[in-house]
Amino acid sequence: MNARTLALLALFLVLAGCAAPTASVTAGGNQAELRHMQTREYQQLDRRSAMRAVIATLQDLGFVVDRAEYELGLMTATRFEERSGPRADKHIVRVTVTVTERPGQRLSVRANARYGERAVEDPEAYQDFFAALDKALFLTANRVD
Amino acid sequence: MRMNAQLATTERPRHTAALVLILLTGLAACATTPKQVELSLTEAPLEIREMQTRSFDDTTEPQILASAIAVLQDMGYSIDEVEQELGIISASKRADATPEEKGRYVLYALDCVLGSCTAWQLEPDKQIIELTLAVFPRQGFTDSNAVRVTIQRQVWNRAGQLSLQQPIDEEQVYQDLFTKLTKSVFYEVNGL
Repeated sequence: MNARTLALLALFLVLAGCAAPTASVTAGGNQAELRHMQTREYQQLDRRSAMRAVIATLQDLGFVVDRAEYELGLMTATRFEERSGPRADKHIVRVTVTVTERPGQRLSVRANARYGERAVEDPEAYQDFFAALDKALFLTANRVD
Repeated sequence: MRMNAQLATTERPRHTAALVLILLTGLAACATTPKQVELSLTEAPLEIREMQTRSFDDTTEPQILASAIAVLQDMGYSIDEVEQELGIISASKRADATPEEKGRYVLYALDCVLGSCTAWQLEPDKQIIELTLAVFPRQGFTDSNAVRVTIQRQVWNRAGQLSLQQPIDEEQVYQDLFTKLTKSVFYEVNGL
């Protein structure tokens, strides 16, 4: 095996790494890990207040809420994005948030986002989202204005 | 081992450089941006929130929702979703989008004189406007509510290509909307 073969091999390996998945219908990362990063639990919070806080948060983040279902605890929202400059690009960010009641007066909030054709699997994005939600919940609970 | 040794003594630096270059190019092609999507509050300044929010006193939530639906109908929106339990309305409309620069019409006219224009060039741009209107009861007050509106739009040019996709953050738009909503609430509350 000479150096040229090695170089070719490296190139093929790299290209193979880029290959588009054919099974995108059921594609997804590690299920447990994903759920963990996309979910937060809250105590002593009613579903209505939680859902209103989620709506407020989504609006704070510049989203338009397409749909909100109280009975199902479900909200979906989109945000149009446009990047100018050398990497000019248009994308739609879609977020689905579910609020579920759990035993022991706990409330579970799960958010998942897609950016264009990709699922957002960056833990930082979800940390940011829940930080914003926590702020909205705090403001709702202690609103003085 | 022998091959490695040989490489090391003769051609290694050049080939290593080439390999690294190939790998880097490959990785760059696969790489995603460090922050895929911005979901932190830093992107939403306080002024935008203030611009998109109005408070209404001595008005119940159902009164505001009814007034808002009426005013959205006045403006030609379709009401896509209403969830009364959460005080939220989603609405949208398709409309013509007047081109930003008038000069484009001159260019199109010139094109027609030269005989190369087609019917679609005379069509105005099209846009879809989507909005959410949410009512939030103000804590510690009775019948006092805050209304927050977020709006975004997509514009297609004459060739049917998506040319613009953006949130609407012109203050005038929200001022006009809230002026209309205030009137509508007044009519609703006073049964006019």
